[in-house]
Amino acid sequence: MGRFGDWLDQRSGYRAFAHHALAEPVEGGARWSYVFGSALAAIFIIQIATGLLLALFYSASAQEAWGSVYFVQTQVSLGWFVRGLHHWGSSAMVVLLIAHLLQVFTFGAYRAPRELGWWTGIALLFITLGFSLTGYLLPWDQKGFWATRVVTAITGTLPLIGGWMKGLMLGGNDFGNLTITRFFGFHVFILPAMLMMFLVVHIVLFRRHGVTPRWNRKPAELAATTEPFWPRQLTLDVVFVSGIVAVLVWLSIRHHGAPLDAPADPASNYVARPEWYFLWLFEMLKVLPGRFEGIGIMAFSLFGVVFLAALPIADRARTRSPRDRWPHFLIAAMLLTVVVGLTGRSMIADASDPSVQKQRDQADAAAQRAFALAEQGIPPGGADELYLNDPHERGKRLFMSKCQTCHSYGGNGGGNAPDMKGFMTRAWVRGAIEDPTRNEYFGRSKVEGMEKADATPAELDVLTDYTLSLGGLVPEPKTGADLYEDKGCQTCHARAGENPRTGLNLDGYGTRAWIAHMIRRPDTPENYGALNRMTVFEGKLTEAQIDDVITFLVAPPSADY
Amino acid sequence: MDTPRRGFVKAVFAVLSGALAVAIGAPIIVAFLDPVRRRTVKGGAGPMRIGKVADLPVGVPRRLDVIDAHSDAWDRSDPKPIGAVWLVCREGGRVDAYSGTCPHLGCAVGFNANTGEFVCPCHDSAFALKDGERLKGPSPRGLDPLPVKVKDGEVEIEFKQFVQGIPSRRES
Repeated sequence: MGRFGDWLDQRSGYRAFAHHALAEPVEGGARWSYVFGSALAAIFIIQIATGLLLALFYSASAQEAWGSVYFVQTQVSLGWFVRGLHHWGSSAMVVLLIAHLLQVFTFGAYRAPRELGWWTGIALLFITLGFSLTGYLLPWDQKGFWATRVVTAITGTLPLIGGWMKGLMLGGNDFGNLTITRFFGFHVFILPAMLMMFLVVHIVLFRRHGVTPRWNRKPAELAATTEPFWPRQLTLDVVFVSGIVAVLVWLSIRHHGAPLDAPADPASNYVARPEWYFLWLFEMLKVLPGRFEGIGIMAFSLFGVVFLAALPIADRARTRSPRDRWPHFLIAAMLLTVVVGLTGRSMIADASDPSVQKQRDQADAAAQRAFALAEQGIPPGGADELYLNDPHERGKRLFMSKCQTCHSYGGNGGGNAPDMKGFMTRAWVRGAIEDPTRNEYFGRSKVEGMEKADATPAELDVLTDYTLSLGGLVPEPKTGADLYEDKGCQTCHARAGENPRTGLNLDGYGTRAWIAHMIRRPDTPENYGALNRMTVFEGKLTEAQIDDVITFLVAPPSADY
Repeated sequence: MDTPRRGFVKAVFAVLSGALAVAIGAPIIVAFLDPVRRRTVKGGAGPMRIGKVADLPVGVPRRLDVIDAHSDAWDRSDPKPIGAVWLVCREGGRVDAYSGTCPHLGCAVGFNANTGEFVCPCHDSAFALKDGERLKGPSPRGLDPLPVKVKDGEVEIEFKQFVQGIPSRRES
């Protein structure tokens, strides 16, 4: 090693370089306060490493992106973990940036002669936010798609240049292939190159001026305690970074990587929310009256940026003590209060809104469904066509367009005909027998004649099972036929081999053929006859479509579907 | 020159740096290597119909596309050409099938009607029409024969693929 080291050193001069890097004097000694910058550099390196791995699997197109991320998340060994590190690492970058900024601000490290370091730091802040913005869209899932729509829409509301800037970001008039190639290109080529450039300048400037110790330490004490960067400061840095990485590992394992929603679907009603560090911008849109939102956001952001940029020039205080710099602290506190306050307001509003929670649950169910369908492979038309090849989803869409004007589903819809959620489950059938006059059943329809049942709960259970047994869906209960006749059901309802009566025909009740007949010809005597106002779908829906609707009705893949 | 305390600090540094490198690096390497032992592109498995015997002239080779649905990492496709085979109908109705992929380095094998030989345009390997054996050129072996059956006038082949560049015939 020694001889090889000599050989290498004679040719590269690495020892002098390493010595230069490690022996940098830290004025006043190693401190925890100085770890943030190094930690940012370290997490950035982790982002590069994990990002390169992801890039080896990623496909930047509107058709392919979701499938490729799904592949990393579910198929590639530890792909989910690397993806998790990258995802949570991006949040760690933002947190550390804020910490770094506040530390530098508090210590007054932006003051002469360190202005350039401060300004390059601000540039790095915006580049990092650019990383977050561009990276979030790349999976092309519901979350990234809608979050990015919000952020680009905010850009679009800016006065004068808004529309132009939005077009520039999207690569055209709407989200599509050019949006994703643009975001990808920025995320993996342009922004990294910019960040490296500014980072090098930032570090060179930092090395030129060194650390900025706390304002109240005496020069003599600082001189006496000055020590080289290695080993103590570097070790503090590594201890801190290890803590952060431990959190990232924990988050990645806990969430099995990072969330991946269903493929982007512009037609869905997804709760669009940006990532947490952009929530305040999003919330500001709600707070400001419509006409002022664009200008308001621009004015506030501009004020924030100008304040940060002008700080080294505006700060004419005698010393670095916060007591002398109180006006700057006041403005910073105001800005911070607005940002933190709006972020909190948005989070609290969502947490206390049951409809947001409900839509999130639906989104989770849709994601699960998409994952299950994607196991068969992504169809040639892209991930958004996963559903089109799925009978459940086709049936659901048909139901929503053809049936839901009268029928409701889980309380959503017309409400003039039975609610079809849980159709043909025991609970649904039992409810229909118990009291068909309730609004969830026939209360608001024109079908009438059957009253609230005069039966005990145990009898209702038997009647339910007996009714379902007429279509062979469950075994026939022993006392079923007797009870059916005791209660007089047969006066109106016909069973197999019996002549049609005034009420619903129960021969084959609940089978696919029976349901199909109801959809095709609800006007026939065995389907309530003239009382039934349901549309005759014979000739309006194909047999295959009717089959899809039945699949959706009787076999939903999950409870929240 | 190390005090015990300095030694401890350096040890902490070494242990944590190592742990970080492993925690981040190992999963990345595992994921990077993952595709090596995975069949990422699938399709053309099992016997499949490829054409009719009646369409094959006796003694003149025909190049036919192998059409099958296949999957590629996360995608699945509708049936489309995934490769080609040479079919030769012999006197008496027996059909021979050869992979259309040159066993040398994987170029597409053609047929030279003037010489009556299969030829690879890349490195000029030539193969006999009668049995696919190598006649000249750098190919380490003859054309790869494929299992073929004739059922009700339909030719059924198994579209196998073989490791290229070696004298022995090993499925890839």
